[in-house]
Order: sequence, then C-alpha cells, then structure tokens
Amino acid sequence: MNMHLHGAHRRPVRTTLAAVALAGMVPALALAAPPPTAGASGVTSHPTCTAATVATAQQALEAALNSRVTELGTLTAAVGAAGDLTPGDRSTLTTTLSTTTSAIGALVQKAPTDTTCIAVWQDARSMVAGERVFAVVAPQTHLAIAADTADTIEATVAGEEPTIQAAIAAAADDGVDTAAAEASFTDLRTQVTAAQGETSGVPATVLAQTPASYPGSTPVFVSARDGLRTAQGQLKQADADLQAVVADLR
Amino acid sequence: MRIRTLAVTAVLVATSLAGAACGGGDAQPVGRPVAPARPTPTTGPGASAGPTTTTTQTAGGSPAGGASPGGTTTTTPVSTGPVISAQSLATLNAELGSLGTSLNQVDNDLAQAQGDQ
Repeated sequence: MNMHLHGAHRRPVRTTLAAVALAGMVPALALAAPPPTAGASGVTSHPTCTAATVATAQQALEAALNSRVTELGTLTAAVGAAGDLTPGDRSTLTTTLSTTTSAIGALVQKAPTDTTCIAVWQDARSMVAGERVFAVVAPQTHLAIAADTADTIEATVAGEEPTIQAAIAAAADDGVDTAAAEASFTDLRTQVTAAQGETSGVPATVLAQTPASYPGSTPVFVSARDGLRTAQGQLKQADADLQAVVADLR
Repeated sequence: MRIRTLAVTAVLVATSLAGAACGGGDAQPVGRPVAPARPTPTTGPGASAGPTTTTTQTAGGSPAGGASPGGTTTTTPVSTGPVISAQSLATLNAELGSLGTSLNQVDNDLAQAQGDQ
C-alpha cells in the first residue's frame, strides 16, 4: 500500500522513519514499533513514512537486516566453538540459529523489492518482532553456553573430590597436619554445591524463550545471568580452595 | 616332664627371636601397605612427579622361627602424584575464563536488546 496515494499522507509528518534511521537512533525501534494506523480515509497508513522517504527507510531496513545477519553468523560460530555445550543444547541452538538465519535471509532478499512504506514496515516488523535476534536469540545463546560451561566446571571439580579426600586421608595417616587442607576441601564442596544450585535448570529455561516470549524473556535472561554470575564467583572460590589443598598437601 | 616342656618352650622362643633378629620376623602385618613417600614438588602446583611407587611387605619367618629368608617386598607404581595435576588446574582455569567471556557477552546482549524493541 503506497501511502503516497492517500491524502492523509500529504500532511507533514512529525518525525519520519528515515530521519530517525539516518540519525542512527535505534532504527529498529522506529521501523517496528508503531503499527500502521487507520487514517480518516480508513486506509492503513504509517505516521513516520512518506513516499519521499521510502527509499531511505528501505536502506535503513537493509542495514538492520545486515546487522542481524552478522550477529547470527557470530552466534553460529560461537555455538560451533563451544566445547561444553551438551548435545541437546547444541541441537536446540543450532536449530534456532538456522531457522532464524533463514528467516532473516528471506527478508534480506525481499527488502530491496519493497516499494511502499507499509511493505517496509511489515518487513521491519517481521525482522524485529518475528525473530528478536538481539533481544532473545543472542542472550539465550550466550547464556546456554555459559550455563553448560559452568556445569562442566562443577562436574570437573566434583569429580576430583574423592581424589582430594583420599589424598587428605593419606596425608593424615602419614602424620601430616591436614587441618588447613580439610577446611579448604570443605569449602570447596560447599562452593560447588551452591554453584550447582545456581546453574541447575538455566539452559532449559533460557532455551525455552522464543521471540514471542519478549518482553517477558528479558527478566528471565537477567535472572539467569545474575545466577550464573553468582555461580562464577563460587566456582572461582572453589578453584582457589582446590589450589590451596594442592599446596597444603605438597 | 615339666622340665622338658619348659626347655622346649625356651628353645622355641629363642629360635623365634633369632629369626626376627635376622630379618625373618617382621612387625608389619601381612599385606599392610607402607605409606608412600611424600610428594616433592619443585615449583608451582603439580610441578613434582610425586611418589611413583608404593611398597608392600609381607611378614617373614615361620611360626617356628628358624632361618627363613624373611618377608618379600613388592614395589608397584601408583598414580597419586600431586593431588591434582597442573594440566587439570590449567584446564579448569581456562574453563573459568570461558565462563567469564560468555557472561560478558550476555551483558552486552542485554545492553543491546533495545535494538529489538
């Protein structure tokens, strides 16, 4: 629907989509947020786009799409390089990234053919609300990677606990004062258990978020991030405990 | 008869003590492992190869004492070494680094999420 054909669009617009885009002020916001509205003529229109600025809006859309293509490539590479991802989480992320990349790719092909404001708006809307590359896909990818990495660290340290315990017992049998090592070991186990509590369930929770979950997904991601930050601190302390035990039992 | 019994007992005790003195008798209970040597790291955690063997001694001598060759000594390698290897500690630190990197990316993601609003 070319808005130029309707009288309602001949009036000056307050802020054009193109102006916002050219100013570099979150173009996606201007492109996707306000839906077309029914003017006095009853014809759907958009208050921030005119026929004179369609080409500029189209360019802004293409730039926004390209930034998402780049982001998706980065995320796909991150998943490929993440050695700690569980097979299930890797599969889920790979599917999500593949599907999203295909959808954005289709818009990349379509955007240059848009000749009307409404067409640009619809594509922008599909790009933002339909895919949520920055608001959902990116954080869920990095959070899943982080959570699985934390899981790996926790399993590694917990797996060493019997060895550490045996070493402390052997040292004690040998007449060595193991009080400090035992204290460090006790704290190590406490820290790992606490970290496991923070990490548990995070991958499933973040991977369950979809573009439709937005904006409710954001507090989910923030909570997961905060929990993993806490786990990170606990695992750092566990690592310090581990090194203390090693030093004590030399 | 009483004198003969006492004499035999004395002989048995004497031979038993003699067996112990010549190495045949061992205070170690059968099969008890001797504590391995303490690790001797050089620099840094896990730098030492640590103990590489453990020794198990069996009691020697016979109940009647005598000239038995004494207990046997078996030396077998063990894998105690340092509590955790230096490589394992390095791997753990690398994983912690990866965790931090991923969480920093999440911070950036959440800051950039406005681009999708």
